[in-house]
Amino acid sequence: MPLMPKRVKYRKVQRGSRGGLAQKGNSLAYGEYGLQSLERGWITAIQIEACRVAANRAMKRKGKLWIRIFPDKPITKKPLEVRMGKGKGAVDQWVAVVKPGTMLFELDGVPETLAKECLRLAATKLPLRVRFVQRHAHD
Amino acid sequence: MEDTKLIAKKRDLEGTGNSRRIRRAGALPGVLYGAAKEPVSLELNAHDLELILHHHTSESLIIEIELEGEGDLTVLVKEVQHHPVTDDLLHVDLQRVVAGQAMTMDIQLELVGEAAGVKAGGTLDHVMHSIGVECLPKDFVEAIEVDISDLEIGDNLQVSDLDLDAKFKLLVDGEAIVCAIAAPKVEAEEDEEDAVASGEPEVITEKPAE
Repeated sequence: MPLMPKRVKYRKVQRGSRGGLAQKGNSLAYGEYGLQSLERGWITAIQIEACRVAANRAMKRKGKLWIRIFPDKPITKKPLEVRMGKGKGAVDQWVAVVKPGTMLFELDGVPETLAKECLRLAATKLPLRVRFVQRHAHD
Repeated sequence: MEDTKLIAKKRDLEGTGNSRRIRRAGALPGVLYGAAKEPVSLELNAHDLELILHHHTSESLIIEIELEGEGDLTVLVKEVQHHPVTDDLLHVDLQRVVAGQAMTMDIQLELVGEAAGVKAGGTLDHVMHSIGVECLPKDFVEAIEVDISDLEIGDNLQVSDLDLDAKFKLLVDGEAIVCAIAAPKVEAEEDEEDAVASGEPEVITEKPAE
């Protein structure tokens, strides 16, 4: 089941802004390897779940994966062939707002080659350009 | 590799716009403080500092700088700010080192050896990558090696278990976890995780239906 909040203050929200760079959540906090966003956009709960499944399958029950983003923004949609007006549509999906620099996933407990492959597979499920990062890349 | 001595110049230009101009010219804005002296805004060669950082595992280092008007100084790299996307250097904080005066610094913890629990199928969870200590500048080391080969599945290594020299005064709780060996994953665990978020979220500002 895709991620979504347990409790929210408001059922529907406005689109909001997503300008600027990631000023927090932009560095490795848990794992040795990570997947960092290079673009801005919305990542849906379904896409996050697809990444998790793809990475976990490739990890073959080794290592640990951290998901650093959470889809806490509800996105509404009006039904097809409905005239404008009559209020805001129903909640269709939940998304995480991602800015350039945001660390999306972190990984630890697997060799570098496997980590790269896991995160490459996860990256194929995302609508943004991302890059692989490593804690001690310059040893 | 022996680190080159950094040449630093005092700067009067401060603020966002001036700092950007300094960076465009290939320099790096920074600040030097400590030893009960007035802080000095300075600029140094970004590429030279980058090279020094590139050859070390930690960004907490003791280096030599040559500051115009003050001569050679030994300083501790206290904080390095990076650009969130390009990873370029943005700013550096340097602290004056006074011989014989204890300083607060971060020392990297490098895990050495393969844990017995990992060989048995467990997963190593490295929680603490560096540790805050107080020590004399002459005792500073970049990293401490921690042998984890005896750790079994379910074991964890706490800060109090580290075999630290008496010259390092710990600034973190002794019960803090450095690393742990988790049991291998089972299918049921993943299903449980999935079950957590399902259904409609509760709206806390909604008025109850009359």
